[in-house]
Amino acid sequence: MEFHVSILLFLGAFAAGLLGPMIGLGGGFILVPMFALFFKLPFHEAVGTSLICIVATSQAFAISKRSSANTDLKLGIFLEIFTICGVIAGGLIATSLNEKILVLIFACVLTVIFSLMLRRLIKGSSADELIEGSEDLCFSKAQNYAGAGGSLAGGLMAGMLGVGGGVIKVFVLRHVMCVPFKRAAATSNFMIGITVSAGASFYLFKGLVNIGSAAPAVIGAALGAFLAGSFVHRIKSRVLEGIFLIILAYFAFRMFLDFFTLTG
Amino acid sequence: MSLEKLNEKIRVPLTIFIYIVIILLVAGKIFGSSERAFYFVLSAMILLLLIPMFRLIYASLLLLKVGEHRSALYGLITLMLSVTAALLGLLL
Repeated sequence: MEFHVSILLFLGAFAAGLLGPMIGLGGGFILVPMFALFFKLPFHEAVGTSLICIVATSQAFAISKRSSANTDLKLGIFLEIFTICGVIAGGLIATSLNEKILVLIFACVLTVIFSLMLRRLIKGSSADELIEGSEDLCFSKAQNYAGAGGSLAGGLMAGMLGVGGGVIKVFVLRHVMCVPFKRAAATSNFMIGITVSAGASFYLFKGLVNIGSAAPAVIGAALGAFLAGSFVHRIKSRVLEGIFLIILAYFAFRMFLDFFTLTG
Repeated sequence: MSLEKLNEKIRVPLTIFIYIVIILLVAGKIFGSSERAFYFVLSAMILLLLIPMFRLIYASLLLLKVGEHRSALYGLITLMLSVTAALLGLLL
């Protein structure tokens, strides 16, 4: 691999590692399209390489932000059983699907995330305010089942599309299991690490991780997340959300374009 | 000491692991495209994938220590499922 390509991979992953955790999303929504569109990796390889980078991002962010003290270990471990089942199913489905269909699914998910974030930005509420609500714990058996179902869906998304699935996890923990926001975010981060690690090992051993591209990208993603953990409270999130929205819109458009131009 | 505070103690070894991963990856890049470089990067990747598993094992042991046997068992099942995911990737 040429040196300038390594530098570009490092910088791209650094930006994803820096921006993703600050917005409250993993870097997967930036990394997968970046690998597929700019570095011309096959979509399955882009998913596998992205999962490896997200492991680095989630672990580096957890260390630098000192958030693990808020983690609900019991709940996280319980829900993780279903998430990993989803990851395995997602990985198996993704590897049996045509690249073109995966690109379409990814473009649709990007569009949904884009519209949700746009709505949040127009309403003028931050991520915390949007999810924050009643602090009452509403833990019951029915919610356990709903939480398990949501976690399965999050795992499926992670295994198929190479994203952490944090959006679904925080939503399930906050709205279904009624966990307070900070606790939900820390528990979600703990879960994302295990989820993407299982997904990445599936892709790595299947030979669907581009080792040459992953090396500079992992360094960049880890350093970006370290920095994000240190500065997460000092930067205005609305500006970052605006930047992130533009990137998401561009990637969604390009992925749709790719779907129509891909053959097979 | 509470379960959460005990869980916070794993931060130091995790930080060391992350730095080892970064050093291995940089070493891999320095060696260029040789076979040695490939093994450096591959071992860094595998070590990186093991970090969340260490967190999971540590959390399960903590839960076992405080008498939450069922949650510790869930942790063991999660670990087994993660290993299954890797094996499926290897075999299928």
